[in-house]
Amino acid sequence: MNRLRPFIRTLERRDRLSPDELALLSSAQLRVQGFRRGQEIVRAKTQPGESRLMVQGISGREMVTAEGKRQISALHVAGDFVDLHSFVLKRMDHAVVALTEVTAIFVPHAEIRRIIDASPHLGRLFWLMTTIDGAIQRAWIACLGRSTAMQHMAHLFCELWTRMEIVGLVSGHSFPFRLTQAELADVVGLSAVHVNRTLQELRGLGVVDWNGEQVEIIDFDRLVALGDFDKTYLNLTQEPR
Amino acid sequence: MTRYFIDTFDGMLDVRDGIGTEFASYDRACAEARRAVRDMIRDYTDDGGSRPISVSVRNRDGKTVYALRLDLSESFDRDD
Repeated sequence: MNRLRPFIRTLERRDRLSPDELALLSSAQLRVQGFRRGQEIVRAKTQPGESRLMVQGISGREMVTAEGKRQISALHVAGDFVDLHSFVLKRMDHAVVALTEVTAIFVPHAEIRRIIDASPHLGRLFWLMTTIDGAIQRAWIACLGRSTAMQHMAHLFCELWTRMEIVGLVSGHSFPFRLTQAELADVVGLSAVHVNRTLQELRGLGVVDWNGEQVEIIDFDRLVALGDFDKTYLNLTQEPR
Repeated sequence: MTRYFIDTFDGMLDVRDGIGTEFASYDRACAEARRAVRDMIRDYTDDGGSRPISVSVRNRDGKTVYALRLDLSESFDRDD
């Protein structure tokens, strides 16, 4: 139950859960596994029999080109399912890798089926979570295609703070972010050199600072304006779904 | 793996790399320098005047082993 807490918080931000639904979720047969930095949580070209739910750390969905260039197309934090979609997709086309130390819960697909059969409402909420994943992807595509490096990074930092706030990982306007600049470069699709330049510019403007361990947002309003960040796509309203 | 240091200048912000990065080869370091220029050009906005965009790669001994420089110049002849 404790390990499910971050996930339940992400659901409760969007809808109310009944005591029966909470009991149903906590009755699921789960397996917990830890991953070291760099380890694959989900392997590409596999057919997972379980979906993985983040409890701790940050993981990234990665696509690697034939020449070895990597694009990280999504970041996952505590409370996020990294591959809820593998339940219906069956075969994974990409890998999910631990970018920090990660703890994840493995939820057997048979258990997901049991929960959805017993509670169509929870089934709709699972659907909602994959839909929000899609909404985040759209926001990222817009950033990748149409933003300057500064706008893109400002948007990303606003989004991560907002997502981590849901699961209680923020402290004031700071949040943990133990990635390397090269990894951040793979997230925003830029060279590590330009990412470094942009971080220096953001720091120089007195907007945000990142020491490699945590991101400190110094001027939240300005960061929101720089990144043209509108949190509507994260669907943070509690309403019947 | 060899450590190279990549310095950049866009006419406004001069960034000297004090930490460096490990690259699998000399060619990889040059490729990263080219990508940096591409990214800097992508972020170029009209701010009047001409300016250089440049990147250089230094080795451990401080010797410049690769350099790329683009001289941007915009001409305006407004007719509105």
